[in-house]
Amino acid sequence: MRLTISLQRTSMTWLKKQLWKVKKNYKVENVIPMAVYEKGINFENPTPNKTKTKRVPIHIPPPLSNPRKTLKEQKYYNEEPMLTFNQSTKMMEGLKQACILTKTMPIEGLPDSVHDLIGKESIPYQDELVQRAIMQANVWHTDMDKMPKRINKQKPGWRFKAEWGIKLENRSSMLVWDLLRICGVLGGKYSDLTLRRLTKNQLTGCIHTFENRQINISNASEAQVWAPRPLPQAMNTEDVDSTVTHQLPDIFPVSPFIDLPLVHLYENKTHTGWSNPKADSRFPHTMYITDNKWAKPEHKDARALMFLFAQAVAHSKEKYGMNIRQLPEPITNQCVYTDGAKFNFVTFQLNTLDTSNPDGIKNVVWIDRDNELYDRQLPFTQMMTRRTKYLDYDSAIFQKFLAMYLSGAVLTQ
Amino acid sequence: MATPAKLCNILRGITRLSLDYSITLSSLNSFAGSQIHTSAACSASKFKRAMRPNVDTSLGMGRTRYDKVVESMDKYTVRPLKMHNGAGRGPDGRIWTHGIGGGAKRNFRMVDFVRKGINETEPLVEKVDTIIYDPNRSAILALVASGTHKRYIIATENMKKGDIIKSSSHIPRMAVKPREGDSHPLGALPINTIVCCIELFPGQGGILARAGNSSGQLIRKVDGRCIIKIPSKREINVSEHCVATVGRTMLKEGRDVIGKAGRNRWLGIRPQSGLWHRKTGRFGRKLRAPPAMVTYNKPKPPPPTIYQFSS
Amino acid sequence: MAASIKMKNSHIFRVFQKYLNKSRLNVCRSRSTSTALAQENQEDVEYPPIKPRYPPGSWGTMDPKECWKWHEKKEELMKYNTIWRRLLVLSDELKYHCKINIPDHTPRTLPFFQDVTKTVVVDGLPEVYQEIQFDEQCEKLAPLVIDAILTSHENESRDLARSQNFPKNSDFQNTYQQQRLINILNRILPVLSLSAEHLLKSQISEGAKVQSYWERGGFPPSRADHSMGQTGYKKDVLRCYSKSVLNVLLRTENPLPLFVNKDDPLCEAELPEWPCGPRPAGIQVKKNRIRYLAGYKTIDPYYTGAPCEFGHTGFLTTTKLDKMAVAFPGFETEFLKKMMVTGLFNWCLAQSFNQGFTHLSDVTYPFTSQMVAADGQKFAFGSYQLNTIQLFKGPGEGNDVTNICWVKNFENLYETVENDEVRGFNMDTLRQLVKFLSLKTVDRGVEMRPYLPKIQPKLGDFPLYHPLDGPEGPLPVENKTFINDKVHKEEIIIEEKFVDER
Repeated sequence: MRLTISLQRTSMTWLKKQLWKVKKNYKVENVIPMAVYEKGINFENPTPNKTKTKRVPIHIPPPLSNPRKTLKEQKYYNEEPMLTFNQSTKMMEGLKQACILTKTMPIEGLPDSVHDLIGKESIPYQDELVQRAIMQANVWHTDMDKMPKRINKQKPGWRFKAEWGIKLENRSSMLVWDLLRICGVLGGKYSDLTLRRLTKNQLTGCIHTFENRQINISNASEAQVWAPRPLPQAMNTEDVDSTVTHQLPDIFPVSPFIDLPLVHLYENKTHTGWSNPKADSRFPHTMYITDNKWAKPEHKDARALMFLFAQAVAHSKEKYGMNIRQLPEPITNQCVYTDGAKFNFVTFQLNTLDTSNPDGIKNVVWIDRDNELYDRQLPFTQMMTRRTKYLDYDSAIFQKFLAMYLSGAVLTQ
Repeated sequence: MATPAKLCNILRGITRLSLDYSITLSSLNSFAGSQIHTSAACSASKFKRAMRPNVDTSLGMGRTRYDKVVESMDKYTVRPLKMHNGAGRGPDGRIWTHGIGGGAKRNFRMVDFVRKGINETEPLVEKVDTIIYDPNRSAILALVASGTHKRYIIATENMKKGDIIKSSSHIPRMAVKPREGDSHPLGALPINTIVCCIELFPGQGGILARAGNSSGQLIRKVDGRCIIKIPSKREINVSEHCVATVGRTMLKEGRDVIGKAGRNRWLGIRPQSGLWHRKTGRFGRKLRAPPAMVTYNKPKPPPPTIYQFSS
Repeated sequence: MAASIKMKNSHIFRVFQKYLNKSRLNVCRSRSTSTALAQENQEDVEYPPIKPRYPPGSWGTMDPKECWKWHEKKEELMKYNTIWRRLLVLSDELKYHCKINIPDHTPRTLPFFQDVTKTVVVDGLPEVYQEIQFDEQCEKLAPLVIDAILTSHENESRDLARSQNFPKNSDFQNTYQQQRLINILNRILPVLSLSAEHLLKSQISEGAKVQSYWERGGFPPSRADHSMGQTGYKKDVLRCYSKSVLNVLLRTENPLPLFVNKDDPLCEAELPEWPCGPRPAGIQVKKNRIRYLAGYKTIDPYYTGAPCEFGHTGFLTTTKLDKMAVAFPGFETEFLKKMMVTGLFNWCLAQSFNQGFTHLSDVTYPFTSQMVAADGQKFAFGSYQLNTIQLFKGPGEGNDVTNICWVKNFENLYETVENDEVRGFNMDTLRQLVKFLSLKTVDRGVEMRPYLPKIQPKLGDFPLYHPLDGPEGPLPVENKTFINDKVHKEEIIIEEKFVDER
């Protein structure tokens, strides 16, 4: 092939560039023809004062107005560290350890005051509404969050598909709020129920001394119900006096302070969360806990106990003063903690504040465990958002839930 | 496919590391931030050479990726620490042992090998909380709590949740009835007891018979010293104040048969070189008399002080 | 079998067949009766039917070729018997569509949104609300609402005081306002629901997604656009989609009543002019996959859908409106109206698709719903009636029906909160809120799903059974299903329960 012709060509791009260097500065004067002038039209110069735009320096905003502070600059820093109990602490010995710290006697089952209320009241379309609430929380809601990685221990090498669905925290919290709304329907019938307050994530804090060491218990559970008058006693004074014979469990060689971390950041205050302690409807009624980060049932029982204890102690100190030693009247509390499917009902009665001795009157706790509202069966290897089964609905458990809600209310129209 | 010989070499490297340079609680406490944790396999062959055991970065060697394998902690924790694979490389970045690399990720759990009582007379009583799998060793760990302190120790054969364990440092006049899981100084134990996690110098921490399903045996007691048969069937002469735990370490199941090449790769063992090597006199089984007894009299001299010159 | 094939293909056999056929004809003819012969002669020659100029429906001055294209699209969609298949077919590909924000960021663009959604905006609320009176109940509910306001105020102030250590989310105002609304609703709704059955059986959801897509005609075509890719419209049709998150949603089983009859002049009113395209209104074109969500999930091949399909009221927070008020002072009512129009249209469209209607075939009965834009302190109300979905037809092309939106401006519920007291409480806004919530739903008396077969599974059943096996037996399934064959077989029952420990 002959390359001479193709190689002897001129470089057109270079020529064009040289041309453009001259031509780009070509200015056109505003030449208007004479005929247009004679018509007598007014002309305006569109660019009378052509000024070159100056380069404005870039404004770099200062760094974040709220940078992260060091440990010592933070608001709740204290030089002396203190033991704390949070929603995420898992106590090694579970209920036994909590019973020692709070001087309580555990009883299985529900107390009589709640047991009598089961089945008394019913809401129209009760089962249908509860079933709808369950499906709404699990399936019908439009959340699309990335689900955590799934592992089946019976089939270790299986890699599950990535899925988008409703998170576990949202699932359980939505269920609880829906059930509370269903229970509140009776407020149209009994006006006493409308005086209650519902709060979300309200902080209660309490500082508790045990064996000359202080523990800071802070709680922010999902939902709390506050009543206009205190709950009636769940146990008679005679039975309370008979708790003297009960002996606290022994967890030697482990000390009851195990698994309570030492922390510098804490709020050195006992409070129930209400800024105005003389307002209406500030008596603790029930607490609903839905934190589900993988913990065993022992840890969850202990957590419920400690939070109820903290709430009762804080309430008593607000009512009777900070330096109280002996309670004139016992205080009762309730708690419901869920998994999304399993419900556990806890009631607590505070009889003493004196935890220096293991002898004497003890506080009492009732725990009703393993109530399955429905059975949530996960598939073996298939997709979770498609193949989980929701079976075996149990209507008796919502009746217990209602009974816990109605306890202490004046049921007259 | 890793031969048993290769595995033995690696294990020997670990034990040799533990012989020369023990990572005990006391030494942990003295660790500063600049000093280095080293993985077992990495530092094994290191001490054969003329290198200092504490490779300090202030020597001017330059920081490489393989200096620090485990994230540093000032004090003892139960929380598993992040660890990256050394891949057989030493602090200079070159391969010091072949055949290591890849495999599943592992977290490092700080194991406490020192078991001593509160005083010379009072024993430390502990309760077993859980039994945990450790990927970094062929033994199984037990999480153990007393008071408010929790720690990991090497579990003996029949340990289970809820057991109560004693560790004492008292030598009575009469020998103690040994119970599995307890630890006593060797002078307190009767002859022919099976022991594991044996110390060489008192207060050093357990060094011998730490692997899974291994144990030593007390043979004789002579004049304030004890003679023990270690798992390699050698005898050692140790002072009677050294502490050992009674019983055999727990067997880690599923380690006998590998089954396929893939499982070796999951364990971090890379294939050998395919080059054909002529077998020399070092291969094959040899029938030899057991080597002589070793006495551990003098403790190791302290490491030399490192002077850093300004110019 | 093979031998016979060989036989059939051979030349000799073909020749043999020819003679056979001829002889058969001869035989027939010879044996035929007179009536048969007469029938044969009288049979008219059948020609294929002539295609009419326009397909069924009113098309106006549209090009007949395009009309037939729209008709064919509609027939293809209608082949699918179930909702999820229909929506699946629409959502196959990722394409470029115009995004319509709720609320919008540019002022002076209200006529564009009216044109795109074909709505007429009316100041004030329809007459339905004047007939309801709730004075007694409002007096009982007032102290509850005051209590709710105080609790939310306390919680917020405490939260702000504690959070000095770290910078807050940019979204924290949204969560506070949502919480205020929910606190009020949690106190009011249970009290009202015993007397009103539609509230008893309703469903509330927080943070529900609402998404829809439609095609709007009548815009001038752009010059440089031959491919659909970048601009989102081809020829005359504008493809729009909108996504939003309603803070609180109330859904009911039956729909709300009509606000206005079809004979009303509002249903065929004139819209303001917007002679330009979407770009001057600040609209961006983004990639989108068509999806229709109305705050809940409908029937799947795996689960039954939510039973409450019709929207009652929705609540939106006003964080974005406050930002716009700072950036563009003087246009507050306009932004409110835009938010109401687009948000409600979006929601009603999605509801209509869940009943089986498509944007190619029109809606047979109007959809209605309400919305409240609230801060906790100031409340604005809006209601909407959706009369048409066929928006691909421009002006003069056979669809003159418009949608209607009523908007009422902001009113304060209370003035300030000082020293644990609420000052300046306004009963009128409370009354309006209660009227909104207690507006009763109605059984329209019309076929709810005319474009779907009558055998559909029951909704909201528990324990769930497979939706294809309804109360009247399994539905016919087409070929090429995306459903796994395992669905129809017996599912494996596992003896050991697999517990989710995490």
